[in-house]
Amino acid sequence: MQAHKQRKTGEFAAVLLSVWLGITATTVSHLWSVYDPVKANPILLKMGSWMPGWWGIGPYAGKETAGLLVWLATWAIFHWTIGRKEVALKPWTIVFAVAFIANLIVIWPTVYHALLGWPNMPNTLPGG
Amino acid sequence: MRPLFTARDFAVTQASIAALLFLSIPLFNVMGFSNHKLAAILHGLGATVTVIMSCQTLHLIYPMLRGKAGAPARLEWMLWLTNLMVLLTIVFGNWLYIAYRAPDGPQEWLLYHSPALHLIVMEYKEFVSLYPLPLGIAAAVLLRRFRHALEPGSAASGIIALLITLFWICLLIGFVFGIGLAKLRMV
Repeated sequence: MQAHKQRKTGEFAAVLLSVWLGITATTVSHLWSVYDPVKANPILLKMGSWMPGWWGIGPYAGKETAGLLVWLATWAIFHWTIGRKEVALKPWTIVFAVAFIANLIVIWPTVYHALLGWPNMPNTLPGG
Repeated sequence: MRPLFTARDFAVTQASIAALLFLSIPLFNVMGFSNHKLAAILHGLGATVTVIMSCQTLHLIYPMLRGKAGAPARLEWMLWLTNLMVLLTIVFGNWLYIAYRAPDGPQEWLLYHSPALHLIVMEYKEFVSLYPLPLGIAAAVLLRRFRHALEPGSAASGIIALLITLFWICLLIGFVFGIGLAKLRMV
């Protein structure tokens, strides 16, 4: 029981922050590839090229990689920094819940396509 | 007098029949016309098993929140198993996604015939279905490290319950959107 007493509430903050940042990294990389596909997609494709089948999964493999890397890297960093302090959990919980829902709204395609534009449909292209 | 069937008998009957019939939904594709049957069935079965297990996981947070002895350990065990299924289903989903995006595949077909199904339903689902992985692993690690120190009504057990509830919500979004898409156009 002694060991458990030494664990700090900051570990909860580290977990919440890193999960949200990881999720947001997939969102941001996706919005980037919607806004500027010519520039973003080759970079995302390269980032995902460690993954079996990346050639068929496409830029999505890079978006998954971005999320995975940001989640695990920030978790490690925050675990050894915020995780060693005592924090007030209530504000962390509220901010996390609001930020999580905000991400669910931003990644709803009609929201970001309304802001960043809709892609061309194959049967609306000139000569299509 | 001892009744012929106990309440437990009825509950177990319902649970087994429900599990069996729910699992048959993706298995119908064994008799289907898909060119990517194995990937499609594995992804569908994985998603169905994951959602059934996640419901049990969600139910196990209630005794934990009430501070019942041994509840955090049982929840943690179930959550790790569900996390494993989440990871497997994501891997199968990525595999199936290759066929989905392939030339002349469902993505192209949907963009011609009903663009919203790809541009809204699929684009939302492919991201939201990833969220359960970090949410579930985060909750399981917190349970592992704090399971002996959780007090009923504490902010700590509340955060674990919140993470698992969001985990379940995102799984269900992925599941329902996925079934909806597969109903309209199989990969």
